[in-house]
Amino acid sequence: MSVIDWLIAPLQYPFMVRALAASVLVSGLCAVVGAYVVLRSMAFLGDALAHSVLPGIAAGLLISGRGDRRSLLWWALGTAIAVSLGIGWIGERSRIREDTAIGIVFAGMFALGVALLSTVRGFAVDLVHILFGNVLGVSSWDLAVIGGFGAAALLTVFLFYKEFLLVTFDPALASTLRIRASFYRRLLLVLVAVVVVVSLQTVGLGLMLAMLITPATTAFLLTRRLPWMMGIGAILGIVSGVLGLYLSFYWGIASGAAIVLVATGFFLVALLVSRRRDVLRWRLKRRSGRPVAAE
Amino acid sequence: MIPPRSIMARPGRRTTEAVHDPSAPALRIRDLHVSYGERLALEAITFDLPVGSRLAVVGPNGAGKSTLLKAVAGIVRCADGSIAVHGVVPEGHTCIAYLPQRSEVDWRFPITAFDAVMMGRIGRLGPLRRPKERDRSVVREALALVGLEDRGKRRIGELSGGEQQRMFIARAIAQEAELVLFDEPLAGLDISSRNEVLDLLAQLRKATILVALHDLGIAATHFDFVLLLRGRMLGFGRPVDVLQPETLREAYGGALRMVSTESGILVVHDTACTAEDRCP
Repeated sequence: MSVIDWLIAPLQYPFMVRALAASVLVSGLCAVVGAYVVLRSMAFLGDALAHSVLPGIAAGLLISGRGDRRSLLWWALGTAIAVSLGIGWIGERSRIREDTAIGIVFAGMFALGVALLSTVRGFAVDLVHILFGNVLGVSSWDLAVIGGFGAAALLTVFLFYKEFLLVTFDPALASTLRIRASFYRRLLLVLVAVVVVVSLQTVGLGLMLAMLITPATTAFLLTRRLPWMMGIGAILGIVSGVLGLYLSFYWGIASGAAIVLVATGFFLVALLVSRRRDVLRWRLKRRSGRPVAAE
Repeated sequence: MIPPRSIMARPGRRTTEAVHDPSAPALRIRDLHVSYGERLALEAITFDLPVGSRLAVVGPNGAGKSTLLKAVAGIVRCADGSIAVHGVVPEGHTCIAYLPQRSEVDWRFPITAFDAVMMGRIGRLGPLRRPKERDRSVVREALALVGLEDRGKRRIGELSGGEQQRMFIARAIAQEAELVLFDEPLAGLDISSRNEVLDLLAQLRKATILVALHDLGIAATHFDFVLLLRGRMLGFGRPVDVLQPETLREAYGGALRMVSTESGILVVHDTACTAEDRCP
């Protein structure tokens, strides 16, 4: 079988085409928004958000039934936005440390979700799909939702790029410049929530975090400017998504896991390359007698 | 130390730029109290600072130097008392530049020195606007003023400590700041970098400058006024009047050594710790 056959063979199945399209959209979107997640050290929050969606989905399943997949999206979205705003509110108001607050909310919500789901018949299958995604079951309507929300999220990042940069890098400067820092912080949280929800079907909430942070971090190791970090992250995410799906198709492994494993592989390579590059740069500087920059 | 979020000031809706009162001092503080939860960090601070003057804020670790700067910047809410910048509460200004301690900045952040200085322009741009050629030329000029014209494309983490501080000064210039609050700019710098930073501060003629400092010698020689803090105000005035043995001993306790020379100059050995502090 030639390479071209290898590439084309899965495309004769419409579900694979839809799955590929969904992976491309989701991976690119996650990497761009994930850049902020990585830089604001919100990895834990991203993971918590994904898991906190469970009771929303469970409530949707209980109320509108398994057949009505469309209303599940709104349940999940509503829950994610409520949780993200709630976490932001706790972090700003409460005396509890933010990561502790996130941990409590996240575990409590996840428990509520499992409790609700356990009352549904066929609970195990639902849980597995929610936890690990079901990219092969993506419908055209799902694709339209991912595309629509994805475009809105990217537009938001484009429009408020400098405000997000400022509240991420230097909140103190943001407040002296009278930028409404808490508004943009919350907007960023809502953005992460939206991205998490529309990506759920591809990788599931168990592996959601990897899509947010792994390609973005890989790009962080390779570049020196945020726009590049977003661009390279998106490319790496997309390549991971496509490659992962092909591996899943040919080797029969779970698609979400395959995508995440490819992304992790890229990260490991980048880690080795960037370490070697840093050492080389350091040696060159020493040789030329220039002072070594403080890291 | 970054204050817990709960006490961070929350600027409300974007207000129009405050109109300066030309007859008011650059900074007027009356009976200022700031507390972190239960703990009172600053109490009863009262002073006026004329436009264009430079003030060194000195005192041992934990004396409230950073807290004072953050309160003036409007980053930390004051529990009691009032602050007026050019006659108006700080919240209405975009002319206040707060330059954080180097240890509070994430130097791994993927931006270049140029990007970091450009951030000073964001307040003037307003939402949804992109930097224009004029903003870029302001940033380039600011970088040139601090001698970093060839460092614009470097990532901020690749700059030396002195260059990082000069980059912050360039950001204040790009912001067209009239009140510059500089938290420990000399900490961890070698002597030549220190001198570069001090020379630059001397060149910022139009701005009023508050600098939190550890080095009493520099406070005495490079500044118009000195504010001696230890939670409360132990002295404010000309360096010769404030930096007197009795007041200094009150501020630093036994951790201070003083030597009088023939010319009458007080040579002070500042370990920057109070006696009961955990000193190195």
